[in-house]
Amino acid sequence: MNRRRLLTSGAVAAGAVLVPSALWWAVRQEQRGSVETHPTLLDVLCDLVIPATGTPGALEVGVPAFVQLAIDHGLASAHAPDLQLVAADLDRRSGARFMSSTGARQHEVLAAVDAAAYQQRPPNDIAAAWLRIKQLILLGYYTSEVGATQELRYELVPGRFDSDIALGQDDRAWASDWVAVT
Amino acid sequence: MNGSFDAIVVGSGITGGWAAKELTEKGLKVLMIERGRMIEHGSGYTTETLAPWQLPFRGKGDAQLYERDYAIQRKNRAFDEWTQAHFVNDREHPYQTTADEPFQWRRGYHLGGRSLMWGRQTYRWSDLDFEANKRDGHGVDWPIRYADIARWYDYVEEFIGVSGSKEGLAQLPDGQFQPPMALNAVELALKAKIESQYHDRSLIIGRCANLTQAKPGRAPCQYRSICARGCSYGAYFSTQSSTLPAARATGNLTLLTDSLVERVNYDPQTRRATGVRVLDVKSRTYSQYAARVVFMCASTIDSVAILQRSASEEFPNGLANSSGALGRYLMDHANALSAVAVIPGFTDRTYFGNRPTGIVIPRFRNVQHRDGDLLRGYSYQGGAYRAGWPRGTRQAGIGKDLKSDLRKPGAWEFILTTFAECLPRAENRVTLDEQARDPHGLPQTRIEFRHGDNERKLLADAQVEAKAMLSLLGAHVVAESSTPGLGGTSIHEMGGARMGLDPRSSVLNRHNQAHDIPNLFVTDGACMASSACQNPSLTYMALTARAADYAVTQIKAGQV
Repeated sequence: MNRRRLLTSGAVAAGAVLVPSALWWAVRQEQRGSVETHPTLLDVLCDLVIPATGTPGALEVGVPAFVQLAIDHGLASAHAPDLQLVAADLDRRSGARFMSSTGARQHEVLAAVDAAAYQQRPPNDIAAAWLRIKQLILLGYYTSEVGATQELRYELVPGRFDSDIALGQDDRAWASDWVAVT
Repeated sequence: MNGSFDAIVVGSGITGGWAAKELTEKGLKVLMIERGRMIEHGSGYTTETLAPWQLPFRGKGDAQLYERDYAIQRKNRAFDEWTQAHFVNDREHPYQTTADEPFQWRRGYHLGGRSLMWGRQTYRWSDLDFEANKRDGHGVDWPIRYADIARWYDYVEEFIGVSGSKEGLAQLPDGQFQPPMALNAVELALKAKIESQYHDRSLIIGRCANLTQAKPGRAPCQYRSICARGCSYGAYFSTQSSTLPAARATGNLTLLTDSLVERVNYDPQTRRATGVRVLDVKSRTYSQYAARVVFMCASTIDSVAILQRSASEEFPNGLANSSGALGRYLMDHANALSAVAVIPGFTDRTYFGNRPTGIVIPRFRNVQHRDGDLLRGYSYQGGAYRAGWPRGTRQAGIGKDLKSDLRKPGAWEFILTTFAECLPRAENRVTLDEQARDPHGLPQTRIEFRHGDNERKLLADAQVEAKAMLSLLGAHVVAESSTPGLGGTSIHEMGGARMGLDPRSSVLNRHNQAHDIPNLFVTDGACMASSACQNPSLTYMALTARAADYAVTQIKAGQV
């Protein structure tokens, strides 16, 4: 079993639920051949929002670095305090350090933050900050080569327009349907 | 004097290219002057084939840079990391406007101008439009009717290539069309519902200047729909793909880029334009060029500004402005996102490829009968598509479930946007601000523009009707509006040197020729006396070809 298969196998996914995130992280970094052992909050958020499944997830394709770049340059109106706001909210909801929680607990807490963000009309500061970060994670992933071509489909030159065709059960969306993705 | 020509064409965009093509093909030695940089067809489209992951900001661009340098341009739908080099740097090209309703001046200063990034929607006007001013008294009567321009529409359509369907609609005349692009499943369903519910409404495919059949040197559309990056297939009409090669082929064209026309020179003795004074924006040196005839094709607002900068003792308020109309009656279609709706069903149907046009619901207000106190009309553009991954930002969910959901196309959504006719009003105007100078030391352009009550009424009506029509498909409306976008956001600015019968109230005659100066023509959007609700570029092109034909006839007859 190669690293990719191991990483996306049920065993590791199950492990993520059972062990504290930092430990699980070390296992995963080991599998990826990386010397990095301390995940950043962005690493964890990316991994929770778009995990590895049959295809690599946001962490594997370098989305954390993109999100950081995007925040630094104000994409999606994001700015540096967004992460701090979200971090504080995650800690508060965890009743402990979010980063020390198990993967399952992290998922639970982030899902709650996420669900709450859509309840707020208009969103409060924390909700708005999270929605901006989530937007950047999705942007980073689905515009990555893996996200666009393995998870979705990408065709720069369709060469024709089929105006009305059947959508098969397993047909993936097009990352190059510019109307749909803009 | 740095050179003498038969004709000078100021600007290289949609109309400049046409003027250059027509005048050179008729044997004139032509100098076409572009203020911006050279962009060669094909090789100049440097981002055309790049994937999102090959760009630092994945196509979204550097928001920090955009805030600083592209504060106006960035709000344009066609503006992104691929196309940013096709838009002006706002910091380097300042203008003045009003604080309460700041005009959004969307520009491209480079060879080809906005022909590179235009929306390619291509519609004829009808006599409903050419007679509108006379009918309700807003604006001056057009000095032409459909019969005067019909054969020029034919001529232009044949050359540029327009895909579209023949519909037999009086308010939106058919033209010389290539085969139409197709409607998708949801658009077809709405078409059927609308056309059975309303006897006077239809839903048709957008007529666009994208080829469905090859033309010499141009391949048919590849259904990428990334046109504004530049298309090396030449599949849509632009100066680069179409008029420039034709003009160059004559051997009669001289092209200057990076050359800003500061003013049109005028000789009070002969009462003629004698040429132009040009600033080389790289070397910062001035040159003079002479010609028998000058065509202003610098875009609506810039053509007006150049004439205003050309003021003299004889014309203290701007060249060819004995009427006082120069700069006034600026228009731009009032636009709104009338409705966005999620359409239930059709989940087993989809499409392949990116169609570079949408649908149109042609004008139905004040067509067959008067509609209450509404003046003129509006039409819708839009279309249906299946929502892509960005819907993930609008719905709760993380993790495997989210990823699994976004892997598939989302629900169908239908967008209807409205362009409403803008009445000509004297107070909507372009002037020069002598106090504020641009980096070249020229007075900045000042643009004052506000939409009026009738535009707001039209958009309010359009919002109601959009929802009513979408409801025929059981749609769930998720966004709606009748608030007009700021002036300029339709990028259909027109007027400022309007055509008219009377030299006392209009700048140009029925041939786009200045009433005051027989060898000065203005054939870009500045010439328009009303705005209709159709995208105007085709009419500019037809008027340009028509004016060029007239000018050459006059030159040969010794009249100009």
